[in-house]
Amino acid sequence: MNTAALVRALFFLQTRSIANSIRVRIRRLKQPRYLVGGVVGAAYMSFWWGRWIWNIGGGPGGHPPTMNSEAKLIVTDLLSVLVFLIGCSAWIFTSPRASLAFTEPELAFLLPAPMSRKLLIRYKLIRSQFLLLFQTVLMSVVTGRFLGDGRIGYHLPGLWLALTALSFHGIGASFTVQRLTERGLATWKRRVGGAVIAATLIGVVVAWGYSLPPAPGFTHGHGRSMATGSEIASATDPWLQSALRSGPGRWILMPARTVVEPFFAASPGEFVKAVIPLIGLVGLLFWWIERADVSFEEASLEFARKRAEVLASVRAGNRVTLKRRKRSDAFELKPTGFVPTAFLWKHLVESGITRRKMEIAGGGLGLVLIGLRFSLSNNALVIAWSVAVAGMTAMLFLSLTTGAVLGRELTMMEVFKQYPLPGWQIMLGQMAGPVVRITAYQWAGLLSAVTLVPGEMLNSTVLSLPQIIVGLILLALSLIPVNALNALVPAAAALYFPAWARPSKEGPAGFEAMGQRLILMFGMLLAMAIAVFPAGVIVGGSLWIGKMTGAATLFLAFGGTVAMALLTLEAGLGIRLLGRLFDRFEAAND
Amino acid sequence: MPGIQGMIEVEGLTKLYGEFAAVNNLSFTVRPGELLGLVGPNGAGKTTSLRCISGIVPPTRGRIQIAGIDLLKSPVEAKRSMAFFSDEPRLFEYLTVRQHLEFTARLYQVHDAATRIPPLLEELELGEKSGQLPGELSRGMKQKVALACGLLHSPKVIFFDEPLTGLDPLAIRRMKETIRHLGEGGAAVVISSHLLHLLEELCSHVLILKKGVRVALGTLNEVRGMFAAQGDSSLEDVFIRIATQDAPPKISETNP
Repeated sequence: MNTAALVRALFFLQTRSIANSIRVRIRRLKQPRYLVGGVVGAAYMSFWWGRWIWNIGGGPGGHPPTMNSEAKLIVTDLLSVLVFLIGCSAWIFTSPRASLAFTEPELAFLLPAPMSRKLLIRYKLIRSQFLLLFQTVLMSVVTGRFLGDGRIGYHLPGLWLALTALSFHGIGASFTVQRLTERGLATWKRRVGGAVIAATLIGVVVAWGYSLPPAPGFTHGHGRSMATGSEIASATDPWLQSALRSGPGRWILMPARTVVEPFFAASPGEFVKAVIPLIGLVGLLFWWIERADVSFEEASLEFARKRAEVLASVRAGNRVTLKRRKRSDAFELKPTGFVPTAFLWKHLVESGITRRKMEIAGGGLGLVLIGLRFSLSNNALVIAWSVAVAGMTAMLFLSLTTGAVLGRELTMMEVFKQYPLPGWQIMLGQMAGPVVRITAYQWAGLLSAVTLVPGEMLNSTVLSLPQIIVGLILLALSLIPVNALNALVPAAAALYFPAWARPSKEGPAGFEAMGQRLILMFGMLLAMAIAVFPAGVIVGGSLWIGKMTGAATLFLAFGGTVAMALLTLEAGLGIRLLGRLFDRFEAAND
Repeated sequence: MPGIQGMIEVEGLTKLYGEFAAVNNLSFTVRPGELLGLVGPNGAGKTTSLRCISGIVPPTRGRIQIAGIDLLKSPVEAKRSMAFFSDEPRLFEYLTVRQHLEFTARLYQVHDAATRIPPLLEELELGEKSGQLPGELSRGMKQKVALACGLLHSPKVIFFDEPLTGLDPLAIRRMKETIRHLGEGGAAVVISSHLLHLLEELCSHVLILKKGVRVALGTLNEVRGMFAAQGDSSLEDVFIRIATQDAPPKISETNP
């Protein structure tokens, strides 16, 4: 078999696979749930992506944000540094056993076939181009929109070649690393050596940069803390240009810059000038890979097996992990007692949460907070406080995902049904782990926000100290039923619409599946808003009456307690309902 | 049978993983029409041996000849004569049954594939399934697709790794018939399996491995005679005796 025959075989495999996958998806649209999902997904795609695509070059639909030439230069420099770091990491972190990412069917058909190792490598390199091309088109659409210059003709081939160069370099480095390992170079020595070389090169560039005079209008470190983005860009660029484009920086970053520059070309002439060296570099990398006669077959078999194992694990509703380690117990589980506790215990063990880790995390957080409180200036405290509040708010949204655990474990439902337990206990148990965990994170965020709150902010608030304390205690306690409610809605969705609630890796792909997920997400948010609304009205009403009557603290405490009780009641009823649903549930195959 | 060249000739095959020898100095020959059963406890080196002999992974040392061609020197030519069937049929998700065969024909450069494919599909009862994707097939059917792909280029050397895994009784019977026919057709067949009754039923010769080392090689009767206290002991008895021996295995010199 020669390369031409290989390309024809690959073309056959690729085109038939794509055609058949499209056929399967079209056939699936006969089912109403896919049709509805398809309509919603297509609407979303045309609304969002369509606008992006048509707006390239500043079409009539809008004015995309543009990047000026100064900013482009900075981005080019920073991307060159990034490419350099990626290149270094390929030598430092790569495994001592070289592997090529084949799928199991590819290995089953290709390894016993009459193909030389060189041809196998060519197959892999050519096949990877399909994926890179797809990624390139996607990224070009996004970055084309971002750059707003309409030069998709340069962005697309530039990005494709850049990704190809990075991919080839990664493979070549892994082959060479295996060679070096076979010749007796220990992995730790290679890693330390690689890190030392990379650090030295970076050190040389940094030292060179600091030896240069600062750019006019910009001083390193202090003095211009309120400068705008464009001011910083215009002031930084000359300095960056000097540090990275002259002296040792120029030579060290030259290969990385060769990779990046064609993407940012502004004219045909500039593109041709930039792309020729990159094509040369890709050719050189290709030659380097082909020349390295390294035995990659075993590691590739192992890689494909692990990948198939992960996929099977996802399909079985389990956690996605390649490394399975024995985990310690979070607490001692007695053989008798409240059954849902066993599910909580299982969740903590699976998540690797142990008593020691909890103690270290709790103690560490306390020490860090105390340290920050007494060491930070007032301005820094404002920033730290904002980060803590933002983190806590993000955690509130994150708790929406806790119910997805059920969707992931749908295939385990038959096992759960064998247990002599009412459905609500199983549901409560399944939800307890994620709810407890997320609540702990939120409490940590709340504690951070309370500890780091700047004194000025505390003085300027309209609430009195007792009101703040009551409010915080009620808020902390309310987080438990709120998180339970957050988990309930997607969990119920998983039981009502099991095919829609499956994780995306296992579930069907395509815009119809995306539409299904969009509908599900919208439904979850709506149901959550309805569930929390009455409690919000009670708290708001209590505060208003409190202000009117002058007994705000009392009414806040009363209203908050009633709201919390209502949320707890809703959560309890929800778990009972979920239990009934579970008792009647039959996992449907999609 | 002096004068007849082995279809598979393995000499001093060794596969090392660091210091560990998965296969150690293994030598054997399989002649045309012979069915060799590869037996051994878990971790004996059966799959590693099969993978090395079929050119899937390179051995550390040794010489392997397939149909007279040196596998290590001319792997492409040697692989033209062989087929390897793993325990699990691994098929492309979005290629139909017929497209799998067409793809395989391209890989092996089977010029008369158009005339070979229809009878092969009919023989394996895949004719009506030729337009279906693997996801629409039962496990037994998938196994048949893998079999059809492997047999398309009429291999002279065939390796089976646990060929009956996951098959129903009917599919097992058909698979056994297929293997038997392949041997009768002159192919050299190597079957690695834990199903000793299958090997007793199908194989003319047995090779027993333990900890990567050949423990016994010969016809079924020869091997039984070597290890069993009584002549009428089964292969299972021999296997149990070898597997439970603590002492390092003694290498048998019997060679067909």
